[in-house]
Amino acid sequence: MKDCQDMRTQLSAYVDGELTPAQRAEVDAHLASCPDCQQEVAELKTLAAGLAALPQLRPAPRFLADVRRKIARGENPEPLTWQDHLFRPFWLKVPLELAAVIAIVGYVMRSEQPMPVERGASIEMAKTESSESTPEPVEPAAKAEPANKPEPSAAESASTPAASVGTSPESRPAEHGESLQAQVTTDNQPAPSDGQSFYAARKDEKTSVLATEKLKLQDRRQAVTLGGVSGGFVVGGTASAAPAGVALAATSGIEPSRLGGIVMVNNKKLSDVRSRAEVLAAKCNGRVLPAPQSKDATGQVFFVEVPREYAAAFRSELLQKRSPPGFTDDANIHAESVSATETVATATNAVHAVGSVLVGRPDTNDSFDTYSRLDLARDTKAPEPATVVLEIVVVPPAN
Amino acid sequence: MEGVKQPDAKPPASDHELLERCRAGDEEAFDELVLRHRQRAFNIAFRELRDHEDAAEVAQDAFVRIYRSVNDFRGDCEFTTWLHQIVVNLAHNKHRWWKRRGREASVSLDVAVETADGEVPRQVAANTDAPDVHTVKAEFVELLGRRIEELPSKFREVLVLRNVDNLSYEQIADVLGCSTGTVKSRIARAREALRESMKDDR
Repeated sequence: MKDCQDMRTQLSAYVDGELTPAQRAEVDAHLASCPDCQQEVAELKTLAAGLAALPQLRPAPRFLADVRRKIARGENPEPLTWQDHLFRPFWLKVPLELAAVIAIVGYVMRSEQPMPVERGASIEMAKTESSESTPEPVEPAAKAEPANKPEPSAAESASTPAASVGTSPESRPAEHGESLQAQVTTDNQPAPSDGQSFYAARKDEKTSVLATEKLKLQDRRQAVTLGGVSGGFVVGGTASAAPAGVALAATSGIEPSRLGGIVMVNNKKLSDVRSRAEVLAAKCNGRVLPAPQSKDATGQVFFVEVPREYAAAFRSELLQKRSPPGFTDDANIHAESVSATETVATATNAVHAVGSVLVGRPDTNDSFDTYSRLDLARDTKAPEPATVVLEIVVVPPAN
Repeated sequence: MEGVKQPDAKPPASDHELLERCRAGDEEAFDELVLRHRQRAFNIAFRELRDHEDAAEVAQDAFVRIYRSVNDFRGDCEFTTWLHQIVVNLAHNKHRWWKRRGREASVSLDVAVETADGEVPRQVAANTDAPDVHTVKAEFVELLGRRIEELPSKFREVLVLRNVDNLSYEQIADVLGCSTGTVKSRIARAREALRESMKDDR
C-alpha cells in the first residue's frame, strides 16, 4: 500500500471523481485505515465547496449589445498576431513607429520639395529629383556596357525597386526628353586611407560602382531621420585626408562649412553650364560666386550660393532642365553629390554633421581616375547658415 | 431577450442545438448562447485578468470569435470547453500584454465593482455541482477568495476551471492545451498551496 505522501495527488483527483475504478478502490482501501487522509479528503471537499461558492461576477447588462456591435463592426479577435507583435504595446511602439515614418517621409519631402510654396519663385520644383535623376541612369548605364562584365551589383541595381524610394507620384516623365543622366555617388563606409588608389582600382567598374553607391544612398535616405542638414546634400562619413573640394573652396574664399554638396554636370562647355546656373540662381535669390575657374585636374569648377531650401531644387534643375541652350541632347551628368547625413536633429535642433562627400571627378574626359573627398564639419551649436554653397563641376561628356 | 433562460435553468435547447441553428443563420440562437454563457465567459476572463473592463472585452471578443468560426467548431467537445479555450486564449494574450506593461492588477473579489455601467453587484455562484454539498461559512469563502487571488496564476486557473467552472480534467486539459496528467498534478499542487495559505493566518 502506498503511503500517505504518495496518496496526496490521488486524493485530490479522488475528490474530483477523476480516478479510474481501480485507483478509486485503492484510495478507498487506504482511507479506511488512515484517519489523516480521511481528514485530508474532508478538507479538500471543504475547499472545493468553498471555491464553488466564490462570488461570481455578473457581466454588464449591455454585454450582448456590445457583442453584437463588435460583430457589426466586422471585428474578429484573434490570438497574438504579427500585428500585435508589431504594434503592441501601443503606447510604446506606435509613437516610435509613427516617429520613424514621419522622419522618413519628412526627410524625403525635404530633400525633394525644399522650396516653400509661399516663396513661389518661378523655378520649378524639383519634386521628381529622385524619380527622374536617380532611377533612370541605371538602365542606360547598364546598356552602355553590356558586354563589359556582368557585374552583379549593376544587374541588381538595374532591376531593384529600391531605386524608386522617395519618388513623387507627380512625375514629369515625358517633359525631359533628353538623355540627361545623373549618377549619384556616396560613401558611407569608413574611407580607405588611400582613397585614390582604392577608387582608381575600380576605374573599369565605374558603372557598377556608381550603381552600388546609388543603392547605398537609397539605404541612407531611408535611415536618415528628420532634420538632415542642407536639404539633403551633406553626406555623413568619416573625415579623411585631402579634401580637394574644401581646398579649392578655401582658395576661393568660401568657408568649407558652407559647402553643401557637389553637382557634377556633363557638358562640353563650362560657360553654358555657368550661364544656366546663373539663370537658375537668379530665380531663387542665389548667385554664382565669382570664384576662379579651375581647369586643372579637378575639371572645371565654379561655386553657386543658393538659399538652403532651394539647394535641392537648384541641383535638380541644373541637372534636368532641357531648355537652356548650353545643354545639348547628349549632355550627360555623371555624378552629383549627395544627400544624406549621419546624424539626426536633436531636440534643440542642433545639427551635428561631419560629412564627407565623395564624388567621382574625372580628370580626363572619360575616366574617374581621381576622386576627391570633401569633408564637412559643422559646429553643433552654430545655427545652420541660411545659404549653402554648391560646387558645380563641369565635366566634358565621355566620348 | 426576455424569454431567455438563465444558465442554471433548464435550457430549452442544448448548446449543440443552438450551435446548429447558428450555422443555419439563426441569429437568435447565437444571442441565446451569449446570454446563456456570458457570465461564465466573463468570470473566466476576470479570473485571468482581474480587471473588469478587460474581462468584459475579452469575454465579448470570445463570443465574436465564436460567431465568426461557428462553422469551424467540430462538436467533438462541449461548447463550454470551446468557450473556455477561446476566453483563456484571448485572456492570456491580453494578460501578457498587461504584464509587459508592468501593471499589477489586484482587485479583490469582495470589493464592490464599479464599471462604466455603474456598480455591478457580485453574485454568488449558484454552483451546485460541487463534489459534495458542503455548507461553508461566509467568512471561509471570503478568506478563500482572498487567498486564491494570491496563488500563482497557474494554480488559480486550474482551481477555478475545476471548482468554479466545473470542468472535468479532460476539459481543462483541452482548455489549457496540456495532458490530463498535468491537470491532475497541478490541481493537487494548487490545492496543497491553497490549503497551506489558508492555514497561515486563519
